[in-house]
Amino acid sequence: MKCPEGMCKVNLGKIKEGLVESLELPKDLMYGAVLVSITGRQEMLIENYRGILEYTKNHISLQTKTCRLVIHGKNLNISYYTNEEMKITGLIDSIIYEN
Amino acid sequence: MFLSFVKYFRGFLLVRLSGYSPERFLNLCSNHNILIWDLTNQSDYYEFHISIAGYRKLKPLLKKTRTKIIILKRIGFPFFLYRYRKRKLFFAGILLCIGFLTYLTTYIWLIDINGNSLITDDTILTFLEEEKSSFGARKKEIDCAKLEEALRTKYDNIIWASVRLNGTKMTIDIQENLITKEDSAEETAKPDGAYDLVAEKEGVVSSIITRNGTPMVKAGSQVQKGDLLVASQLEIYNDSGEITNYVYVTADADILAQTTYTYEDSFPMEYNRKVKTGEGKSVYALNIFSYQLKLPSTFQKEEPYLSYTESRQLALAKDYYIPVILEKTTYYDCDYEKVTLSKKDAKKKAKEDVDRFLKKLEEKGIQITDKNVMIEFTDQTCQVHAAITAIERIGRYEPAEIKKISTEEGQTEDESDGT
Repeated sequence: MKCPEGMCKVNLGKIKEGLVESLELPKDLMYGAVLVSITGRQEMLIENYRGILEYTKNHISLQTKTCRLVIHGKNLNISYYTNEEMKITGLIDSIIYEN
Repeated sequence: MFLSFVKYFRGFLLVRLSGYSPERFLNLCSNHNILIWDLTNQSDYYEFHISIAGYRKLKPLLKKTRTKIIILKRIGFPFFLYRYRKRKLFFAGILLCIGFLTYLTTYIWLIDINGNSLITDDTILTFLEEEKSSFGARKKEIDCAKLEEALRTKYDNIIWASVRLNGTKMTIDIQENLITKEDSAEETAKPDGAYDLVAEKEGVVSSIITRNGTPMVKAGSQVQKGDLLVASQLEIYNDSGEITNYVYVTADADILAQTTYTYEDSFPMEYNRKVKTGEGKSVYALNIFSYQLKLPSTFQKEEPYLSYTESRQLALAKDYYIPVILEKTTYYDCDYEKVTLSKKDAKKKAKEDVDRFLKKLEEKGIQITDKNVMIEFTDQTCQVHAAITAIERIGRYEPAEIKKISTEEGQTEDESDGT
């Protein structure tokens, strides 16, 4: 018997959520969530991102699995970036999550 | 720090990227595992650092994203070598330097000595010099096993030795015999053979306990230095009470005697003393071999002064001394001060002096039974006279004179004559 697609997805999502919660699994691995660590206003380390959408001096927008991450600031530089992580330096004004 | 050194050593480029979709290019780079760092954006172009290996892989990506790349700067060791490729002497110098350093590492430049407490470092260093294994010796010519053996045979105190070479450093570990020779000698001080015990100094014998030999003195007898106390000669009598033979043994006895010591001293009641006034001024000097080089100083010394000199030998490394001694002499201005001792102070000083003398005696194992201290003041001097009575061991071993009055043969001859 086939279940309606929407129902299945909701059920699966709920099961997964319950599983992650009860087993205390790391959420960044299970959901592919982005990890952002910020040091003061000058430095920020982003892990688990997918790619760079836009990069100018004043704003950087990154694609993650679930959302877009837009960073506004001044003199933003990318110290280094690899497949897994990216380090941004500069004066950070705001960090916005967009869907 | 380490990472940047590696980057420099492998070489990298500063490049400028411009074109249709630079973001796509950047994403492709990360997907192809091409490392890019220090990425900056200047309105219509991007600048970043990329390794040489990464740069070589960029061509298809540039075509795909329709971007252009310009090399702005070449940084790193490979480019440095390329730029100076025509400077032959420079490279020769580098090679020479490496060669020289490698050559130097075939010599000993540092000696580390551990575990010695009775034998000084200097003694061992001198020993090594004699063995031609000191500073500046070739490592090839040093035989560690042989050195260890030589150390053990030359110094009885060393019961275990280990010599190791690490790089240009020689480590010598030794283990000393904690029971020194003197300690063990005291137990076996009794020599073998015919030995008499004679008096070491004059005194009155207070007690004598003989274990072996013929006692020649009694408690209470006065002895002079060199007098025979216990003879090694034992007389053997026959039935008729005649001496038939002498047997010689090693005399052994505890002889305690009352001895006297006198202590005499005098010191003036008035004397001049230098008293420091003000801060000291230091003057430095270098002694190179036997030549002294005074470092310039504006200081002028004036009489009277007190001076203290500290000297220190310079070393290139630990224990690797060079023949240069740094001397620091500090001069203090001073005044003469006349000191007059009161009788009470003088007595106190005299008593301290006598006590120090007594303590020295006691350290030698001499028991003090009585002391008689006289302090006299004449004019401006204080005279101390002390008579000390003590009890100490006075026996000393001396080889015995062996008398051969009657030998075995003689005895038998006499007997045959008699019958």
